[in-house]
Amino acid sequence: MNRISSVHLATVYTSTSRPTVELTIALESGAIGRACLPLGYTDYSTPATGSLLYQRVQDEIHAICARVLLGAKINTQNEFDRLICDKTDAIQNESIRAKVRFLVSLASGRACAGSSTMGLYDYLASIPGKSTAHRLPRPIITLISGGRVATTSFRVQALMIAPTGASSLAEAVRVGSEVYHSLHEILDQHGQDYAIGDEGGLCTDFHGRDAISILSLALDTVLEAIRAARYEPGKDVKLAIDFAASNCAADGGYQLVTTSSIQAPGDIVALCVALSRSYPILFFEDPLAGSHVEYLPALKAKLAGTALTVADDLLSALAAPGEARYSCDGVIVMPDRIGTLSQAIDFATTAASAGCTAIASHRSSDTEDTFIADFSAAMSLPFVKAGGMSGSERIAKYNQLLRLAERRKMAESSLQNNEV
Amino acid sequence: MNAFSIHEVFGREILDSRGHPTVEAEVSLAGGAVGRASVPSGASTGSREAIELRDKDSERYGGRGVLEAVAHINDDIQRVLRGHDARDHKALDRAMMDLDGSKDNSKSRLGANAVLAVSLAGAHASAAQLRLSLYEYLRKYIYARPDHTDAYVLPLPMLNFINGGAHAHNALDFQEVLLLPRGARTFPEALEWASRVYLSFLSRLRDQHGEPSTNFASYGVGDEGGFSIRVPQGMGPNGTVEFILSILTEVVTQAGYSVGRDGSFAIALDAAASEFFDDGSYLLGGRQSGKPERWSSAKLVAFYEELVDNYEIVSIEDGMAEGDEHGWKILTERLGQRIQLVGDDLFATNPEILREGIRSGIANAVLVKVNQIGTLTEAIDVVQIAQQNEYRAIISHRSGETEDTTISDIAVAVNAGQIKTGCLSRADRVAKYNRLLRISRELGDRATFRGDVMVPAAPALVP
Repeated sequence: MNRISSVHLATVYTSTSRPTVELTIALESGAIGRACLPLGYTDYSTPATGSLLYQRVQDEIHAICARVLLGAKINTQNEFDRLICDKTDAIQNESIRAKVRFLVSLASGRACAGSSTMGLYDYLASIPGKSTAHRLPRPIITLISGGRVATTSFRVQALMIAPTGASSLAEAVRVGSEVYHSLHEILDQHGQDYAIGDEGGLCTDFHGRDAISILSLALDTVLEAIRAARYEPGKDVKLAIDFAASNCAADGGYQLVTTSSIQAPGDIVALCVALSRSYPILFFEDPLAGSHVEYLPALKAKLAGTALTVADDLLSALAAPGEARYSCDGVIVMPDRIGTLSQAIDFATTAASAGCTAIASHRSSDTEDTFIADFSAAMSLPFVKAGGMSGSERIAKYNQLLRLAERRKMAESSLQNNEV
Repeated sequence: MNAFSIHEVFGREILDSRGHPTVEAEVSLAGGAVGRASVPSGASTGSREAIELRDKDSERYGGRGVLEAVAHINDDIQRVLRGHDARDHKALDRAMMDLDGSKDNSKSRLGANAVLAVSLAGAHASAAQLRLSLYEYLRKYIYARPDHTDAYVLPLPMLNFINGGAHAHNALDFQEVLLLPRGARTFPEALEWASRVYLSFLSRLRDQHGEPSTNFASYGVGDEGGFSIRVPQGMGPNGTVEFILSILTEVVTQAGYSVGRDGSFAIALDAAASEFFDDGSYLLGGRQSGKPERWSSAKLVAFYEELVDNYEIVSIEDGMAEGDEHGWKILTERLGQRIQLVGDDLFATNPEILREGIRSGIANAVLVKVNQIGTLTEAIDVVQIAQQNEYRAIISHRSGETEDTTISDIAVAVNAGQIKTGCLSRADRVAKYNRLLRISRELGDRATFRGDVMVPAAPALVP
């Protein structure tokens, strides 16, 4: 019977050694569900915020444990999620509230779903409110990491590739891996020192006169890696850039490389347009910070037909996901920042029905949990960002997608065709 | 046919922590239970190791694909194992070894990666069918502990914090410098300390201006999650090691802990000496200067002794090269009563090689890597041979890992007392520690944790 018989909180660690919360929920039937909280940079930017967050999430779950969770009956996920939302409504801090809801909802959902490989995927796919398509998301793989997940002068957060020409999930993962390793070889040939950043991308320094020449050099290096792996840029593989612009903000403008001069928001718009003319770019993520949202509609219009603009950090400065479409073409979906499973499904569905491209995403300090793979597949989202081809906190997500792809009904429908 | 009879064996190609293909297998039983496991891959593979099978197809994954190994699982292995009672693990492994039939038991025909994936997945399936945790199943059905104790020991983590040798681009000749949270009273406490020290390292990567700091090179260079530290030019082999140890001590202190006899942390070295062994002697200090010094085995042993005298070093792995039996004898003679001497390349997780080593009295501990031998029963045999001869057995990961956590359960099942599974970063390493945290919770009072696990080797030093 789907009645909660026990709730257990514990400490586990993320990929960057940070303690995080693991919640285990057991049902009277004996089924057990576990959820692990991935962390984003703002969750641990100072050691104090890290331990505070951790403590607050634990305390809030403790607070509802005896009163709400123990003995609660889970008839449907939607109904249970509404209960959780209701009982956590008083939590003031939006981020803490979302994390508490996410953990409780996911752990209970997993317990109901059972422990088989396809269990969570099937369960999520059965929750009403989502589209009925059965399509796998196209993975977007990080090649170069910069900014706060690296220790180089390159402040742009990620240069990524999307294997747009791949016709199956297994092929897309293979293209990602081959290009990733080809980049290692190219950097070795260039005699360029590199390390692996928090999100699995390679961190290295690029030198040039200004931001555009440095970015071009980095993108050229990625193109070289794509060609060396015998793929054709633009046809087989497209590029994507996550500026994470709020982290490059300086004196009312942006500094994309620690050695470059500061650029005004208008310059960034011009930079994106110029890059989209010279490179096969699928999307620009967070090209501007929340303080410059007024530049977004113009950027979107100028890029129309060539590249998309995608909002991640920007979302908090924009209105509801449905309204983000006036400013951006796509949104990043991080369920742990949204709340319950039902809320995450609702968020993604609203975005999709408003014509926004929804891209599911991992977090910078993640764990071996593969929820995001099951979620993006069950929701038939067009894309999932899961980082570089290094570190099992990234690869575990790709592996779970590979398992899901074996399913007959998934195999029958091809990978989503996301030509822009 | 019973509930434990193997119903299906299935293999697939997935990726390891470095983004290279590896094998995953699922074994399902008539009773409905399903076990899943994936296998690691080593960066350096010794000449006497079981051989993994890689596709020669350079069009896929640069020739590293494992479709052929996967096909062996889905054809031959499945055919032979179907109907087999999964609880008789020895017979299951034996059936695969017979099917493989390659000479020297190298498993090169089916691929050690195919055989091991099925071997491990079979154990997971039996455990699930019995509703036992994997470590309990291994203890009850595969590992026959001489004293039949049901007490469990949680392993002391040997955390690879500093990379050198083949794992990094710096002047350090030794491959790893490890921290052991020896003073911790419980396993969770040991990890809490490790996390604080790791974060203390992270805080040193940038200086006060937010620029990359000069000594602390980029991190994550190593596949195993440790740090790489830049060493000033011209320090020589001794100076380099001392410089690294002083920085390590400084970071531990900054985190609020200490290194030392009564301190929170002890140090272990993995020299990986085969890597700098050349024509009967050892080449040290040449990684940056290009002009190495040529040391005799005796000189290297004297250096280790000096380090052991001056620092809290309690364990040295592969202190000598695998072919240098004379050197190993000197090393064991001089330090075997004082510290743990681990054979990795030396024994290659091979029962025969280990028996030889025990007879010659070299080293006093063995590193056990399941994929070096290729089946679960053989790996556990190696542990038992070691333990029966008062050698310690340390369960170890490989550089190419997956999110699979089987080795955590093995370490607990055999009361290894120590586990080597990288630094507390990258989920390929952290997943193993997270699994041990869950086991620790599950066992509660039934498990003990001993930080001073390797000290009994040195009775002479106890005051």
